[in-house]
Amino acid sequence: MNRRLTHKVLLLHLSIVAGLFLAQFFLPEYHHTNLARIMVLATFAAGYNVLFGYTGLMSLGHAMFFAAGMYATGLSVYYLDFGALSAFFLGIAAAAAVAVLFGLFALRTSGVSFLIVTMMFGQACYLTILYFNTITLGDQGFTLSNNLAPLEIGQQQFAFSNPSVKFNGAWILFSISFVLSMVIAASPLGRVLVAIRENDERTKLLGYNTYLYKLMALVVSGSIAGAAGAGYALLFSYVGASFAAILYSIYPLLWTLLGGAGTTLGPLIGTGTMFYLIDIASGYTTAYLFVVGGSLLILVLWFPKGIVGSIRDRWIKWLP
Amino acid sequence: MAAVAPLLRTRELSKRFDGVVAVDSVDFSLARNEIRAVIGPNGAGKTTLVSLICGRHTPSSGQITFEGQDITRLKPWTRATNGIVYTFQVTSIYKTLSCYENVALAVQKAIVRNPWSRLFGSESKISEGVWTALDEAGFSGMSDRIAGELSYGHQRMLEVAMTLSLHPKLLILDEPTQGLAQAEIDDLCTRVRRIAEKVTVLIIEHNMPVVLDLAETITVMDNGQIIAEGSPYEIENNPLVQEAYLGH
Repeated sequence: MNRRLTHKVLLLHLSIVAGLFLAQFFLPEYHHTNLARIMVLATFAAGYNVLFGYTGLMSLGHAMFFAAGMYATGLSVYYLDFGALSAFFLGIAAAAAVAVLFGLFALRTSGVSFLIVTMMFGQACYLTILYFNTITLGDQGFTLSNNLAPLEIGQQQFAFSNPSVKFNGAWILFSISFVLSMVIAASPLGRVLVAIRENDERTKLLGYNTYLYKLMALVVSGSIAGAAGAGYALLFSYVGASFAAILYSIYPLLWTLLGGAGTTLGPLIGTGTMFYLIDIASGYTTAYLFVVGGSLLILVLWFPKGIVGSIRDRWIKWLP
Repeated sequence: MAAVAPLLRTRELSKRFDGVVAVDSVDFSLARNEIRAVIGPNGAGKTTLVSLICGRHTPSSGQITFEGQDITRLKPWTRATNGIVYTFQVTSIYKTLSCYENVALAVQKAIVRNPWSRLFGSESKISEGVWTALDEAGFSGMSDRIAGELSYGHQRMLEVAMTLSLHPKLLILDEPTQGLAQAEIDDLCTRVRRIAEKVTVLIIEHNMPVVLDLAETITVMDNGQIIAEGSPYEIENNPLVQEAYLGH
């Protein structure tokens, strides 16, 4: 018997994946586009959650991984006429490489120092993109629609301007990151990551090379964030330096906290909730950030474990 | 004594913290399969000495060998993998996790060898080891309890169960009876004696009846140095020891 990856857990995750797929046939056009965007951003949050939620390392520089994926994909399509798939994988590879390099330096620190180092690297990355503006076109951004050939699989052609291609591309991206989160959470690897979060020194003295495990978590986390960035560039046909700015390092933290750090479902719930909170509030007032701030306050005061974390504590204890 | 190679030996081992010499040029050796107690007043440097041995601290100078190999520069996780296992003075377990998960972390480390299985292997083999370890430690039926909600005595025993699951060669117990009730202390002593049939035990302890009951050899530390070493009888009658305990 596997105590961790039970049939219940598997069934829940697969039904959510199936439910998201079916949603495209029922949702009105406006929400259809929103959900596609939410799924890509939730992938970003799912990557963030591997490092923050499971391993307990808080980063304020994850925009650099998102941007590494986005720019490697975008620039290779823009300048080198890469196809969608090769550009996408190049994006993931670039983010993974950035994560390895960054980890070798940043993981010498922990706690607040780690947070500050991540923020500084993130800002350095953002400023680098702006500095090489002639190549990156960072400050005004660029679109890929004129350069990106439709994806061909067999005889079928998939144009990225087609809303249904956008939706299903986002769905595949999110589903992979979601199932991967579930597998990691249930695996011996996930157990060690949680152990590091809960008691680093005990874990070291049990014989685990915690440095290596943190590096692995960082690379997995950065690669998923990079995949989200690459996916965003392809599906929404826009690449810009604003995605490397500090705001895009804060967002995944907020989404993950809101949904529930260290839960597989948290990133999706958190991203979706925040997205619609802003969407609805901005329909009533231009001061919609007040609503966002207020709800975050409520969250921190009464539900510090986020939506899914609170549900797990109170009702459904088996949620991974 | 010198005929058999010792399991562990330190040579002129020192540790300074900002000018304070916590461990001062200590030569210490430990034979295989003995139970050794280290005693001494508070601040004598006992915990620092064993922290140097298990790798929590790096020495300022000196050398440590284990099974004939120089381990002075090895990381704590490598030393644990090589068989030096430490239980903390203040119990250190995963308080938010279940007893099962606590023990599973040790079992997983000890039995899973294949690098891929270490990351994504199946739970069934680990699970078997965990149930055995929980039963042996008297935790049957408590596997789902959150470790932090257990009594202090149970938390201690859980930590001991975790460290034993690693199959140590040298088990370091740092004041294991602290905060335990008498019945729990008796239990622990029985347990330690059983462990010592296969494992070398190094125990730091203030509780003298426990020390005299368990240890074959006692090492006495004061001011970062070893001031005496010998059988319980020799130690009890050593004037230096009496002075260290009664004040200068």
